[in-house]
Amino acid sequence: MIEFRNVTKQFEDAGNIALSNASFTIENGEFVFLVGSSGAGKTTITKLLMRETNVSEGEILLDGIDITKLPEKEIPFLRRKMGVVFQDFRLLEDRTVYENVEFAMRVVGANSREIRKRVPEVLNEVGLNYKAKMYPRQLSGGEQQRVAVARALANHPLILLADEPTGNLNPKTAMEIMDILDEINRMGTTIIMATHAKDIVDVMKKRVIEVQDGNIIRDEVGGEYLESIEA
Amino acid sequence: MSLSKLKYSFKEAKKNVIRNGLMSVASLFTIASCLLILGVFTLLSLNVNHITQQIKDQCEIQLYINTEATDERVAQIGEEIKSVENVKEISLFTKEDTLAYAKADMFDGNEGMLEGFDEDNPFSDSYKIVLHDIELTTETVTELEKIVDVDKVVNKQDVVNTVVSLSGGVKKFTIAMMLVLLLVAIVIISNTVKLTVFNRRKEINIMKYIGATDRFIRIPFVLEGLIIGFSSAVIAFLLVFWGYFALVSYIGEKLNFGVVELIGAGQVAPMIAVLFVVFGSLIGVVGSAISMRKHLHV
Repeated sequence: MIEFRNVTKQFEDAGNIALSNASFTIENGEFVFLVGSSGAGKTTITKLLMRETNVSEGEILLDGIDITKLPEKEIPFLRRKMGVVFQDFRLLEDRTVYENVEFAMRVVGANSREIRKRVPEVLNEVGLNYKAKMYPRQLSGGEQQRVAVARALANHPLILLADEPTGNLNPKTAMEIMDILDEINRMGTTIIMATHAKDIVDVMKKRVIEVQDGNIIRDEVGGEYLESIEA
Repeated sequence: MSLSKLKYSFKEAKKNVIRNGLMSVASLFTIASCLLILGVFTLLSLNVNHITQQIKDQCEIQLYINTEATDERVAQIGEEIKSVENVKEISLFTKEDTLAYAKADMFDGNEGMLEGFDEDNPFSDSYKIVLHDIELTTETVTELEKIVDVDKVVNKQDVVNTVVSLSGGVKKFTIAMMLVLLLVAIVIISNTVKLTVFNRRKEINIMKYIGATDRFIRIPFVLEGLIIGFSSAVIAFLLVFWGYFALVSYIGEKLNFGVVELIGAGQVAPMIAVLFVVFGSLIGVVGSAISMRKHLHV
């Protein structure tokens, strides 16, 4: 379970408050959309969860442990509980599909036997087993994002953080990615997805947390993407 | 660290070396050049030491005894000389020996000039003295001069002083050169790794997101430095060994004066190899570590 307790984040260099006194809870296995206009504070939430940055005030509990108090050397182990997918895929161009996924497992110290077993398994989950030997530049945008999802899933994360994962994809491909994420969620992984995609939010009928100027202004199960949200 | 991780890190490091081809080659040759210069100075220093030792071994003190001293007194003086600290060995050179030497070597063909010397030998008995530590010559000479019936003590202190000071100077210069070259090489490799880190910032960033520890990220870079440093050491060693072997052979064949000789190539090879591998690897590892410390902030 993830629990934000009165979390405020103020960036020292920018001076503005990115998140103000935010409190919400996400249960294990939930699918949550973070919506809001650009700069509203969605990405700040994902960054705080990964401890890419830390809170100015408040607590963030992950399964009862306050991650804001974690010492620096513990952060990699926190991140291993999460998978992350970005809008720009962030794949390693000089490695094949297989190697990109393998890389994620090597990082956490998986041995060769585990890798040989898990990589085909996870590529199969995203339907890319047959492209294992190809390089990212040989794949379409949707396929690249599926590799990114496979990489995020490789280490059996409890939580999958997706920051605008469909932002660079056409509607059809975007829905394919959402189907994969939905399937992953059904298998028990918590999914937190920051998005601007109204059509996706409206179709998926999941919980929606809306952020505006750093404030949580809506938290609604089965919510929609409101017209009032600026892109 | 597990074997699997280490193997992976080595594979990554090798890939990095190849990926940064031109930069790796540039670093490799620059470090090899530094090691080459270091090797030349080390060999110079070793040989100056070696030659100094040979000169020291050949440097003897000649102690002349008053002509009035009896044979018994001369033998007694021998014992007194032996009791002086720093005296390693002595050998008596009687006035008869001196005359014979003069006849045979110095006045060969002009023996007439030494006519009558057999009856009234003007030379003195003398002792040839070899010292333990040639740098204490002055003190030992002072002690020897105190012995009764000693006429004079002759030594080659000037030669000794010159050789000792030259040897000391070369040693100091070599150490200074070692430090400068070490620093230069560390800066070079640190720069290479800095560029590598910059080129691979995206990958490092992804590694951090996935949950890689700093150590896991650093190790391939450090190994990359190690590979470059070690390879430089091998290249530099081969060049230095080949060059020195040729020099020793040339001097042995063409310039053999019989006075002093250089250390054999086979004798210095293990030392130079160890020195290069240690220095090369150290340069690689330290250079990479410095660079990683400064630039691994994702």
